Amino acid sequence: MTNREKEEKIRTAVCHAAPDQLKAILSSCTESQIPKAEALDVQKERLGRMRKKERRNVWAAALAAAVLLVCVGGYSLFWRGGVDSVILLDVNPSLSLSVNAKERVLSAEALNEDARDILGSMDLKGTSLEVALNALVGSMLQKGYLGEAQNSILVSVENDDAEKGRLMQQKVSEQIARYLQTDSMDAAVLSQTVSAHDTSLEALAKQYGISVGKAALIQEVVAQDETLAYESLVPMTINEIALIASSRDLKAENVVQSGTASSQGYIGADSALDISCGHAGVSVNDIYGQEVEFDSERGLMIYEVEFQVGAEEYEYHIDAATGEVLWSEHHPDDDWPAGTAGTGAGTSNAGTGTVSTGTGTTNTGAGSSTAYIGSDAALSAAYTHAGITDPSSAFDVKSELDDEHGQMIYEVEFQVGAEEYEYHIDAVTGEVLWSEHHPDDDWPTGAAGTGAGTTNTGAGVVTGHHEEEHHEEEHHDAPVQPASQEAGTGTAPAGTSSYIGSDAALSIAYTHAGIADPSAAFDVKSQLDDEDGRMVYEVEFQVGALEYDYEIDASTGEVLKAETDRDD
Amino acid sequence: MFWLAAMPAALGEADRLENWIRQVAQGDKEALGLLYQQTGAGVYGYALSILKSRQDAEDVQQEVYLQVWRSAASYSPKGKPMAWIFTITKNLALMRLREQKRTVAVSPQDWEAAFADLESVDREDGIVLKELLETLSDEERQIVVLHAVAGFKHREIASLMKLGLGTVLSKYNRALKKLKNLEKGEAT
Repeated sequence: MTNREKEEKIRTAVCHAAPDQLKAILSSCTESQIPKAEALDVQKERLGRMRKKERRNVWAAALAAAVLLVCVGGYSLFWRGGVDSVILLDVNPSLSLSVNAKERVLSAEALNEDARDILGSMDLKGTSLEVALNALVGSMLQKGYLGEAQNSILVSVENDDAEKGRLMQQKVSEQIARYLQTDSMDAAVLSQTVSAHDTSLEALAKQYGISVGKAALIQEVVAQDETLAYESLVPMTINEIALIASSRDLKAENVVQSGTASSQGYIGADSALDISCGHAGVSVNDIYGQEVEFDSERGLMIYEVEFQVGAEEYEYHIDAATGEVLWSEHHPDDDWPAGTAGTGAGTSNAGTGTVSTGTGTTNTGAGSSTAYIGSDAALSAAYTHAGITDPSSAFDVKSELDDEHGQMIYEVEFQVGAEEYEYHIDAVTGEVLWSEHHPDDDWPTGAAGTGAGTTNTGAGVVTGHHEEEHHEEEHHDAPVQPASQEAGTGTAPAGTSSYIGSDAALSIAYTHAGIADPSAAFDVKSQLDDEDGRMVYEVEFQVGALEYDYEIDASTGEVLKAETDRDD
Repeated sequence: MFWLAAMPAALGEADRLENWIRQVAQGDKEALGLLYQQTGAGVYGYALSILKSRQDAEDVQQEVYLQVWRSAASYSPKGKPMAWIFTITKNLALMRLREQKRTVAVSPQDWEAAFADLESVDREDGIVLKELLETLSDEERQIVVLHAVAGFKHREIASLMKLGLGTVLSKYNRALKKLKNLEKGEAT
């Protein structure tokens, strides 16, 4: 019996046993209903009680701030003191509006380059909040930051008084929704209140160069889905984040959403499924258990597609805009009854013309436990297995807890030089259950070595159970690497031969750019490339609104090219 | 939108439930009836899985909807009506559990016969209920009922029960395995 059948039996039994008490309930519902105003009062009182202590701290903080501001200058004290709410707007442009208790704008600040574009020469000081919001949203529409394909906006309100903050949140989001709705488009307005005193949130915002509002939203989304990485959502627009969250049916606790984020710019879940089936050579009618969700990969929207055909499970990553197959894998399902699966394992990668050979499956069943080793320990187990002595040489690192048919594992992925590594680590024992490494398809031609990937390296640590399931042979049409660049063995970081390594190239670029704190950089890329016969590292990263582009000589570390550009 | 196709029930349902709660807040008894029909079995199952007493679970189910009636106006629509209703259920059930402990220890139930008087419960239902109540730990039972009867996702259960997602997943899998093993035992 499958889990689903068992669940259905339980559901039926409980439904049959449940009493019908509706009549009794309705006859008891007389006048005992608490009216709305009273209910709100009760809530307020409760909030008041809870916040009393907090508020005292706020006053202490405000007093300290005032003293500090007196030292800085009287003018600052004058207008800071009048700030009642701070309203943050995020689309991709991020803006901050400070308003006083009469909802007059005291200041409007652009938090990124796109926002400077929006603000332009607008002078909003002294205008009413309503006028300012209309002007800003209008400008975003006019300049194409908001439109049918990107229809989501995030409103975040900071106010020391929680109730006032909540009311302001409601008012602003309703106004924006009304304004956008009249422009014959279906807008999605996400809104939340954020604490002005949350230092951890502020640190996150600073680290990634985003607004506190966006930092809070990403935190909420990531907290509900362990498979999503914070960093991967940072470069995405509010619309894209909202799409990812809703495709996974996540509802952020503190975020209210009206309307639906637009998926107009993408091919659609059905097309993604069609493409995946086409690639796998199976008919859409033969698949079951399909799931299509949005995710982001290196700033790109992708569809994560999963489905099953017979005993075989398929996983695909499809570029959501173009429909290109970015990655794929298939393997036998653990839960499939032993002996019924004849054909077997094999992975295939996009466009590489993979041939797979089969092995049967065994089903030994997996135990589970609640104590997991943690994603960091899983990562170190993978590094040790791969012979990576310097973890800083690894990039695109991912270590995530996953439920592999009832067995909890960490899915670990990382790249060192041109080599991509994938691991399944038992979440309880830390045992390496399965591993694979192969050259990165995206690695520039001429820079990568002969592309024979190895599977299940380090014999002895692989369990019999998984060894059989994942016994895969891979053939990659990987680009040809010079002899100096290791491939296949995967035991040494890139460039230990004659090149300085991608990390060294990156720090040379940071030094050159005067970036003292590397954690401020995001969208970081450092890749070996063949530039007309000269091996260079192409280094790209972004700090705040500035994009940096470097070429570093792979042998000498000399800076060959340095460019900065405003991200717009 | 595309993802509606992926989960039509979940989304539409949350909206629908929120509408009903809004109507209940305005004194609409019909909306309360719709809420009851939609969620009553899950609420009862969850209460039963906490209390392990048919009578107490029935009482709590009734209290839950009276509470919904009274406090619908204070519900703030955040797209989580089910979480709200089941948090009420959890709190009322736990309150009753504490009261029980103060009075007398509940004697072990004969679950085989516990539902025999109900026409709607056939022999197979009886066995399933007995297994559910006798074989599983309290947490396992609550997780299974929330998922199978009330339709909660594992991460929603984690948030309702204040457990880690991993804990919920592994307890759920262990519970299902236990139940399936029982069945195999019966078959042989």
